[in-house]
Amino acid sequence: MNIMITAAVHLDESSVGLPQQCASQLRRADDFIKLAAAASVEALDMCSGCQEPNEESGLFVGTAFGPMQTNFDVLGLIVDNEQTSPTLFSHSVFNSAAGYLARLFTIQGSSQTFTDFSWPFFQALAAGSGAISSGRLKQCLVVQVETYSDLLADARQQTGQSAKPWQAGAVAWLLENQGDRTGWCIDDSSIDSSPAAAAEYLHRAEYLHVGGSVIPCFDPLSAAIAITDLVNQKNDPEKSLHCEITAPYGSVGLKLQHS
Amino acid sequence: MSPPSQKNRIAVTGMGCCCGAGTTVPEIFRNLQEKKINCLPVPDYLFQTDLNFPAFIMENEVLSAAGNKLLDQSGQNFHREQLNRSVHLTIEAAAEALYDAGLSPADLQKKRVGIILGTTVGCTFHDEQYYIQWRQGKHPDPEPVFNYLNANLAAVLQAVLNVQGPTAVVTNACASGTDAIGIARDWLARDLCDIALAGGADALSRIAFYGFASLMLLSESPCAPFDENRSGLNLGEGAGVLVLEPQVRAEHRKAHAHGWVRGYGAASDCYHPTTPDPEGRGLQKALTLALSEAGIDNESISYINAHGTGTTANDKAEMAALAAIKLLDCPVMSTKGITGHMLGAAGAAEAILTMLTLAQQKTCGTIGCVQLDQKLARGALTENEHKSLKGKIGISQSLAFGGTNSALILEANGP
Repeated sequence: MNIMITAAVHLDESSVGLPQQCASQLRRADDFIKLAAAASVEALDMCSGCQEPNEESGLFVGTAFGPMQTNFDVLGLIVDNEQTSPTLFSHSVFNSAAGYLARLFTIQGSSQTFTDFSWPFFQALAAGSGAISSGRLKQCLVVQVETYSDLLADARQQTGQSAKPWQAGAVAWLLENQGDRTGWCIDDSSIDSSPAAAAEYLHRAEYLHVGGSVIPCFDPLSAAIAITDLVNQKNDPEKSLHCEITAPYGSVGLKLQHS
Repeated sequence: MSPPSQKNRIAVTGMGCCCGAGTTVPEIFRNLQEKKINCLPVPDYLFQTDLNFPAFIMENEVLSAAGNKLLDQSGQNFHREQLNRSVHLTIEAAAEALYDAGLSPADLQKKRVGIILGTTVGCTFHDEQYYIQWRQGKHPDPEPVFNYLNANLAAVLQAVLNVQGPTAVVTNACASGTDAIGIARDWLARDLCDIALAGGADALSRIAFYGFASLMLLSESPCAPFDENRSGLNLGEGAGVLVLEPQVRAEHRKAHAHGWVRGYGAASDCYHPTTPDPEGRGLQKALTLALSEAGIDNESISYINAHGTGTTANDKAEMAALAAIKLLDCPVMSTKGITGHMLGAAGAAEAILTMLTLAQQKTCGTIGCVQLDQKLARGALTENEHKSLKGKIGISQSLAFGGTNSALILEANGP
């Protein structure tokens, strides 16, 4: 079964606005949830011919650091002996974004969140495409969202990773059975994780090898963003995309076929 | 997914668990039968609190000789103090599961070993001293940050075992452990690995403790799932790990199968961030999917290990879901009265207890449930009830924040 990428978008925190159609439902949400929602709205809007999410639709969220700032906001209240906010606490749980997305778009199928310092987007992508190929789902959103925290930024600086600060953002892909449509399909994917020193997850020396080019990817979202850009370039029916991302903590292979 | 043939079933060949109810699977199961409740104030070695909510907590030192041996054999020079408590819990349960499966780390070397674990606390950075110092503008030693980055449960266990294969950490709140087992089943069915270690682990953190308190979900007394006077849940900590492998591979190495993971289903409520749909619509869907995948009907189900936290909303929604899909006759009970709610570990521990209950073909009642809430859509076993089971297939189900629901269909091996 061919799994088609029917939409692929990325947003960063500077370009994100609260989606009009779900502004009221997101009024209490934190940035982690808002970014995931904004990217997902854009992905669903991009795909005009796609089915509306339903009980055969699923959701797969990958994240390296989760709602880290919200977690610290809760911790801050606790260490200050202040009343813990129930809303803040519920948003600090790592599947908070998935829960909001499921409600916003009435995604009634499986909703899974994966937390992984190495390959969060590709973990979610593998799970989503696996769910479609096994027949569990006909459609799914695959989302990576990262918001980081000031503490993490300072830790990066302190440990010598003083290069460009990581920018919060989100990537969202919509996957569906190909049917009789044409577009980019996932032909094959693989993830190879290997043990690495903790500092490597802050340094993030990832390199995307594609078509003879090497694209450096120095933050947890970069590789997913770079492949999203490739997918959104003018489609060429002759082309296939063989992407390989290498890093000290392993590698990812992704073979896309235009059909 | 269509149901696999007998030969292609996914067998459970090893089980390991540690929690406030005991440090091994046999001890925990014995304490369940004997109703030994270890629900106590949170000890100072975890954290200090003036909140008066008891919990199910393990001893300060989690690692037994078996857990320490597993760490020592890795050759990776792990420093125990640099591994957080959720990691220790994982190692401890994995050591027991591997021993139970008759596997040493050396036996795994030429296999593709999938490792998938659920957690809620295990993925967070919650070193308070570091956080406080950082907030004061100091530059604390970054070691706690490195420890956090080295605490991805699946990655650590993969490194300890020095194996190759897919890994994942599922963070679906309280359904994480159930989902991890269901996903591992998929991995094996799709031949992504030869064998899988699946389950969940969670130490009790101050954030979870105060967070659940803020939601007014904690009980000041031992929890009483399904009781008319239930007043909330007790948090717990622990880990559960199952060794899963295709039946044909288990037979090849002459491993004993405790039973099989016959089906898995997951679905969303689309209702509320922290409250389940009152009709349990997502759970209904998850159960229907799991039954369909197992290729069985309701009549084949002999036992249900409910999520049964003891909160008003959870117990009501769960029973509404079971009634709605006509799962009305088989006994339902909750084991939270002996383990507390172990969040990301709950589903794994409960899958293990389900397997053992099905194997002995009788179940005890729900510890803490004295007077069944008659307003529930169907009944559950009260504390003093016992029931013989008519068969060896049952359900272990989980509900979670975010409206996530998941269910496993489990079958125990025959005598």
